[in-house]
Amino acid sequence: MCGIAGLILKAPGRNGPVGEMMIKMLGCLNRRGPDSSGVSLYSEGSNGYTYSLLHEGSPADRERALRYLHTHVGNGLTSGAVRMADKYVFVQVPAVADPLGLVGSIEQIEGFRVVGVGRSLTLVKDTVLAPVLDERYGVSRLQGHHAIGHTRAATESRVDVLHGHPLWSRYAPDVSIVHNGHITSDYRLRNRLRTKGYSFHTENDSEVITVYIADKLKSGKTLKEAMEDSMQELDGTFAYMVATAGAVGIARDPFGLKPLLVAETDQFVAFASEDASIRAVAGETVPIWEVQAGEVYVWQ
Amino acid sequence: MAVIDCKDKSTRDINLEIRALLAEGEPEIHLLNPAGRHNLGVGLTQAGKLVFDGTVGNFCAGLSNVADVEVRGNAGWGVADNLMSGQVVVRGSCSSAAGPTLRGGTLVVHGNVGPRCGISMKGGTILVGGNAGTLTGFMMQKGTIVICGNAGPGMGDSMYLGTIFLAGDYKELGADCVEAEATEEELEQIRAQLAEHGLPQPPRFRKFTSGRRLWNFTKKEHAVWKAAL
Repeated sequence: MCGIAGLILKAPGRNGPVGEMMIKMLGCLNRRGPDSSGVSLYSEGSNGYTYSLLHEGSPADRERALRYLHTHVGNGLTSGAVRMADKYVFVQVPAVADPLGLVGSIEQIEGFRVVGVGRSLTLVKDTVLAPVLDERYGVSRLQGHHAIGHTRAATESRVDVLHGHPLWSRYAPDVSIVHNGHITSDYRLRNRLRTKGYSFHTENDSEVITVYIADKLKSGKTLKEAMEDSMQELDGTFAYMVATAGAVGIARDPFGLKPLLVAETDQFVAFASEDASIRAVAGETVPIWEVQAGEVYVWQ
Repeated sequence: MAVIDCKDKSTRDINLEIRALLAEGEPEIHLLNPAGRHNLGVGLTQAGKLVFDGTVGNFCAGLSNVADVEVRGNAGWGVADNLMSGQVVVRGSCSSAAGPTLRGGTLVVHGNVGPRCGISMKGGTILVGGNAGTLTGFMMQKGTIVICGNAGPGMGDSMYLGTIFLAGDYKELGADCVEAEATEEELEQIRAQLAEHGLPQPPRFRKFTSGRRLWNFTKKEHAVWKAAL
């Protein structure tokens, strides 16, 4: 059992208190998953790329790694604005020719793991409850246009930050997912995707969804088409959400084995595993409806 | 009438308080701010009305011997799980597996129900004012499900016995679920039950039950075997 939540503001091109809302939503979902919490937050109007870097070493090691990053990686990174918060370093790069190509260079530096890259995306996750995530990384101060979040109850792979959600695809900037359930066709799909040149960086079965969706998007499919294809090809129990720079998609498996609820207000659309999570931001009286088994919805 | 404010109380404390009040003979308890919390009003063994003033989470009124529960909001998964007698009324909608293994009594849902409503039902009645999700009445053995709206795919899949009355359309019948002739007496009874709870009165109902082909078959009957799986 995990908890997933997402929201998208209706006003196009405008940021709002999405970070604060996500923390409220995830706070209600930690009972479904106390092992870790995480948020992918997407902001409008940012220039260049944001690299969300995890470094779990000592503060001194982190400083040293960051100095090394500035000195040796180059490619515009040195001119980026840097925000450090506990285990994370967020680096903003005004312009970069090959944003995904930099990931390998960064991960050559001891201790750094890239958990998210995107024009709009800031990704933060840790093995803590949502209020502590906020305390450590100031999530509720972040403004954005849409977001997805997760509270994890680990059942298939270890509890650490990298195995937490959201999971960034690594093969497409800005694409990240949160998933509640199990993908039983994980090995088969991984092998198939490996033959196409993709590699995997965790043992989390949900990672296969990120690569699967990235592969579909790269082949020219829309997010809706990619998620509809997944209904045939992903086996197991799932309710999952995919966020890109401009859209959020949600899907529920053909047997409806994991919960997924939606509510819409004048200002935003919110979706979550549980009623209480939506009501935390949308109020007591808002009508909430359930996504039916096998359904896919995408909000642009 | 007693009032319990669920805010700032543990679920265990709320349930113990309900139990203590019912044991004292309290006829009606109102529960404020249920806030989608799970496992509320479970294991009820004494008569007395419970009113939840808002949405409840999973397993509300589950494992109860006798219940008179009203939820003035939505309910999560497995509402009225294994209910033996009495009634549970949900004014809003229910998520997955509403009334699982229901043994007796009545579950009334004014809104919609999610997947697997009445799964493995062994008695009692489920009345649904709206639509039902996939696999309604999956493996049910006894009892009656009445749906005033439409039903999703796999309705009545692998049902042993029991009856489903459907006013709207189904997407697809489940394995070994067949249509049968409804008697005027049965329809009269349904109409009375719907009227009693202020539910819609659709002009017609179709009756579905088990084709009983899955009761006995061998592996050689490949088509039946495949359908059963």
